[in-house]
Amino acid sequence: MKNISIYRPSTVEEAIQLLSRHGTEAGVYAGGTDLLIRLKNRLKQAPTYLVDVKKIDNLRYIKEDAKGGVAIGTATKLSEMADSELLQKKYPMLVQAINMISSPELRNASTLGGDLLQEVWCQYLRGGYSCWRNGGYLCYGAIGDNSYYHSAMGGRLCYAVYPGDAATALIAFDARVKLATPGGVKELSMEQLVPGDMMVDGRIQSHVVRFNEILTEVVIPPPKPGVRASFEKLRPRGVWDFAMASLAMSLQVRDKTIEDARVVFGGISGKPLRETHVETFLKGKTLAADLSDQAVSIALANAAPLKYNSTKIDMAKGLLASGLAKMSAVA
Amino acid sequence: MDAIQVEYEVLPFASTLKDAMATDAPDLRGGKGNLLRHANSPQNFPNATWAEQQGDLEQGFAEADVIREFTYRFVGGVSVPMQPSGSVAKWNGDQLTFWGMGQGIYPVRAALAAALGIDASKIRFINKWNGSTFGAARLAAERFYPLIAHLAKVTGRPVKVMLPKDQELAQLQIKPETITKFKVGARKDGRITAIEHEVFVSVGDLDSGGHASTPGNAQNQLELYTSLVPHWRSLWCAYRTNAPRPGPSRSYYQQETKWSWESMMDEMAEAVGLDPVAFRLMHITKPKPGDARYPYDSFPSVEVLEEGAKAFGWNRRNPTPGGAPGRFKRGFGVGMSQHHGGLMGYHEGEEAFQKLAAAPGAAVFGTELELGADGYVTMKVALPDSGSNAATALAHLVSEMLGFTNRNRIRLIWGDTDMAPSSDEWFGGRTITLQGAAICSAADKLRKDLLRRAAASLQVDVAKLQIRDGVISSTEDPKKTTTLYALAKANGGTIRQTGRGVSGGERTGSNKGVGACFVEVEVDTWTGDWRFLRAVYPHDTGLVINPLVAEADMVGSLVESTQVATDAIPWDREFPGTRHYSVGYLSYRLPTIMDVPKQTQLYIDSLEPRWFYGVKSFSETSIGAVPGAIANAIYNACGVRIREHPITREKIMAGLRAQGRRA
Repeated sequence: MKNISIYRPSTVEEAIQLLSRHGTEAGVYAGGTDLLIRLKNRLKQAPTYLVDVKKIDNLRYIKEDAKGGVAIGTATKLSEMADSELLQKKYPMLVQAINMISSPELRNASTLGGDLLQEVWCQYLRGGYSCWRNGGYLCYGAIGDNSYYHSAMGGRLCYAVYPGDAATALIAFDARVKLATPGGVKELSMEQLVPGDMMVDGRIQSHVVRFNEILTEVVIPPPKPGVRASFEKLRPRGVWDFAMASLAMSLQVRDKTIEDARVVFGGISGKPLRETHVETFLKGKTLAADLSDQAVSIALANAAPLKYNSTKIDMAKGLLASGLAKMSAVA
Repeated sequence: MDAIQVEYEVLPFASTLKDAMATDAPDLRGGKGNLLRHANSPQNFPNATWAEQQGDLEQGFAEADVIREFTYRFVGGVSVPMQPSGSVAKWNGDQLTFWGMGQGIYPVRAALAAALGIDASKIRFINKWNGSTFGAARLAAERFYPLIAHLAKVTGRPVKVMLPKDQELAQLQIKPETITKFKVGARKDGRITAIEHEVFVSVGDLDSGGHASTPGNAQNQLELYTSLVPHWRSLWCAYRTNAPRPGPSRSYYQQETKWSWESMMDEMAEAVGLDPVAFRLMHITKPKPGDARYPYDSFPSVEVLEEGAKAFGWNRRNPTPGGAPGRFKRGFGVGMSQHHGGLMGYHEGEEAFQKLAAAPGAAVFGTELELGADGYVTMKVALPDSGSNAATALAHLVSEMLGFTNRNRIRLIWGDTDMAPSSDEWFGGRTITLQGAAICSAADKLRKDLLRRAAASLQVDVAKLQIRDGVISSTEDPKKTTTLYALAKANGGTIRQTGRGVSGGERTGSNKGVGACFVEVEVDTWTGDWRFLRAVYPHDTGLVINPLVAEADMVGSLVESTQVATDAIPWDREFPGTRHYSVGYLSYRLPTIMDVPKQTQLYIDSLEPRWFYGVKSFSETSIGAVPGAIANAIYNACGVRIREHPITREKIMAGLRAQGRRA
């Protein structure tokens, strides 16, 4: 592992100054469960100057806002989210999703911000191969073993799937984020935050946060009346592993009629994938057991599996059927 | 590194069995053909490395009412140790201290000394704890020892080498690619009349054929189901390939071959309309005393199956594959396995011991027991621990033989050539049998010594003394007592006895274990996901010395075998067409305790002890049963038969799709 320097700023402003000073050589350091592994994996894009934000007081909280929504500081541990009575009361599906992230040990260290902005877990990138994200001009996953960690929905340069579960769940709640930037606070939707592989500041990443910006807060709107939500995740092993396919679904139901829907797939694309065709289809329909066959038939029509990962699409469709079946059973 | 320019020429290569067996395959053996043949290869089967047959195969198939053919492919696996592969060398003048990892310290020290050209006495070799070695990992570590020692010498500083986990994966010996073909004939009543069995094994760069060229290993794969079949033939064909080298890797060739046998037995049971357990009971080998083919002290194949089926509730199995209604379908599966139950030998005092121990290269295990003036007994053994906690069981033996009711009075010194007497290394289940022989021998001598000293001190006949928790007393006069402490003190502070055991001789192969695994799984027919719900692991163990150690070993067995059954080295995928798989554990996903269910251990003690104590091995005996059991349970649950290892959600989903079963 290369030599690194660690700064411990006490304010967000100070942290931004440090990030600005070192450019893309610097990176935000919180839980370390992604960042330190990037360093250990010797990734080209791993920072040399770590700006440790753990000492910044106002980044670690879960609180209800005036409108009845919830704001979460991005240095909040995943385990704290999992244990939050407020989140359990208002967004049980989010807690369910958080509890499916890696292992209890990792959730004790990982932060919400780290989960949202984590590097992809392509085995070639982490194995030190010279791919797009590692200074090269090739995606090994597109031609090699793409069975688990690569997109079945096409790609641009890097075909690695977006690995986080929190974003997939939060999009289903229309969550938004706040970024501290040198020019002030910037707000984005969760979808805008993680649009898939993008060239940002001369490097490829899955999110749009620039080198001198800090993700500070996630804001979840108040739960909609009649909302029901589910999160499902398939992974090869019981702990640690990332989603082969996952689904966060939120339906707003009145008198068994679906008034609004969010259908978000994880683990199959370079970003958390909103399936708007299914959302549109579901709106106005009566929530019933026979809905799943039709929804599945129109889902993921643009799938473009690679050689070994067509099963991801089958699994994702199975999760859609499963989610709808569970929700109709509640109805 | 960036300054190094590499020029290379791509030579023809054959990394898979298919490539190595092709008519236009590149020549990997200097014109001798890629099929390995040796002096004992059968002349009448020029395309085989080894063969065995019985009866007339054509007649057997002529007598059959049902004939089926099956092909199973095991694509390769690795047993991965928990701990990193690392070692440290430190010189002090011409004295080397080396901290290594492996399965013994004295043989490794000798090899290191030979490589360095120094006398072995110049090396202090230390290895106490390992997170497991599985045979595969120790060799990955040992190949670097001379280099590490040399680097420490030339730099004049201690040198530590730790392989990153991903690089370690490429250093391990593997379970090789194996293709098994069966043609099986059976009568209407289910009785098998003929088995034609062909096994093709990739042996990497080995000059021998691994298990395909040594009858002992190949026969070990045959004896479970051929004894009652009148006509059968087994051909083993070992092919040189450019794949990594196979070798010991947590059981020697058990899973890769047993999974094909257990799948075949399940498929044939269905073909003749019999329950899989009943079909196995019909064909399982049931050795009779005096049968030279099965010279085992015990072989409780029927008990293992029947007791396992009873404990599992096999009678609740749905005989129709995928017959349960609904999305989530549950299924039962069974597999069997047999393996040597720990290589045996002789201990001091037996006639064969002296002859075997005096032979060149004899594998002698030694120990020393030292009673101190504080009343504690120090047990000195050279063998490192590799997660099995074998020393706990050994200490248990010493305690019991010296009359202690717990192990609190036993201290342990181990894994250090400066501290423990010479011993060979462990493999093949030799820790409890052969190190145990040395321990029992020493404990027996120490007990007799103590009683003799007490008899002299108390003026009591030795036969009328009892020993319990450090006190020796007369059985007739409770007032006549002395203590181990007093005896040690009277002898100048300590009383020592040594013991030895040796491997080999007629007894070596007498200890055969047999086991089974019953599993229940649940398949989600909408997503292809499956869960391992329940397992019963009936196991022919002999005497269980310590139940906790035994259970831990069996849990490890199930985790490891689940891994081997459900993931494959991704060598055909990561770099297509090659055997290159250096990417690491993101591609070879190891299970944890979360991936196996709480299991029921069922220990069957069939052994009449004839040598100190009747012990057999634990996990390796039945480890070969698991892959077949899981595959059979998946089939019973959802009707998808997986004949190409590994068992994955993709294959389940593909099978369900082909059936039109999923939503």
